[in-house]
Amino acid sequence: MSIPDLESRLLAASGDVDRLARTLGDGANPFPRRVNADPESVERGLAQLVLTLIELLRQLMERQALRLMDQDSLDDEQVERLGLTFMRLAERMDQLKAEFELSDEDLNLDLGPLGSLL
Amino acid sequence: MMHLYAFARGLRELEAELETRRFGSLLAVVGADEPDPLQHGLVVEGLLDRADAVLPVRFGERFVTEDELAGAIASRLEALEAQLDHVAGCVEVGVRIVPREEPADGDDGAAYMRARLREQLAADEVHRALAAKARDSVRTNRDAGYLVARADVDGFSQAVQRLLESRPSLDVLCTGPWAPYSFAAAT
Amino acid sequence: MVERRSLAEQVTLLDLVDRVLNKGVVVTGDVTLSVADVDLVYVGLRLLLASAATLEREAAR
Repeated sequence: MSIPDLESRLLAASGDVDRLARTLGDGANPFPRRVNADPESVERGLAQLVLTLIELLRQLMERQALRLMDQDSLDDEQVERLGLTFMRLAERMDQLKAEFELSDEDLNLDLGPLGSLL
Repeated sequence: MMHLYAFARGLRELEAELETRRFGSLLAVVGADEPDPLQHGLVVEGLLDRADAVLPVRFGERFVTEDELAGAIASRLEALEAQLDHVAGCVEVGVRIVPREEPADGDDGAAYMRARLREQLAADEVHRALAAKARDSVRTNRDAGYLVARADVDGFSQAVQRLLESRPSLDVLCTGPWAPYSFAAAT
Repeated sequence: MVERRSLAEQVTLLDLVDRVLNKGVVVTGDVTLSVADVDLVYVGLRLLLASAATLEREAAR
């Protein structure tokens, strides 16, 4: 299969596709998209791993809080405090992600010598 | 050194540079060259059109000798065959739902939580509706994979579009068809 | 020279790589230690959250 064939695999999208694209890799994927051995890349790779873990935990905690809220297990003050905390966490995550963000270049994965497989 | 790409049944043709090894009713698709993750993915997707059933292997499975490969697979053969049975004739459609970033009213925590709860419940509804239309499904909070018969992909994708139309507050990404990665569990 | 990719192509490309690295059969069991670590953290936290909810219930009684 070739890369241009991939385009047809976007079946539906609603909302901000650009932003959705950036969330890919926010999930449980701790890998930097390029694996290089130089110290700078290793450091960035580690930072991305840590950020991914933190983001995962944040999502998990928010989900659990929403469940409790849905079950009416939280009082108004708790909901307010949780909301503020999660908002601040999300903001902070955005800042950190921007600091370690991959450049557009990294998305252009180089096929190198394996063009023959395609 | 052999790199393992996927297991397959009913393989009709094979790209150059790839080889197969038979174990029971299945074929292990291997290659001598070490691919990067993208190349690995493209090879597996290529297999999807050329076989009756494909079970993708996670990137990074490599073996030094044939014996090593044979040993690793022999001990898992039954589980692998069962998984191939489960995904035969099917592909995966992925649906990712991400909460909208509300323009943050920095002081109103309760409003944030209410908006998030609305979105979460709407997302849960969408996933429930789609799961009912698929042979199988797996879901983490934001990401779901649906196992769908090949012939049903268009219908499924239309169902996704209809569900989205009535829920404009959700950011949704639907992609596919893919080889059934999410239905290939560790054995 | 690398051509500019359309957004659709970029998105599906990222999705594919995401799948390849995260999902699929693990045969040898020692693929990507860090992924295993993420799973452990996830499971640990779920247990913790579940316990917190239980504790809350008990405390509210």
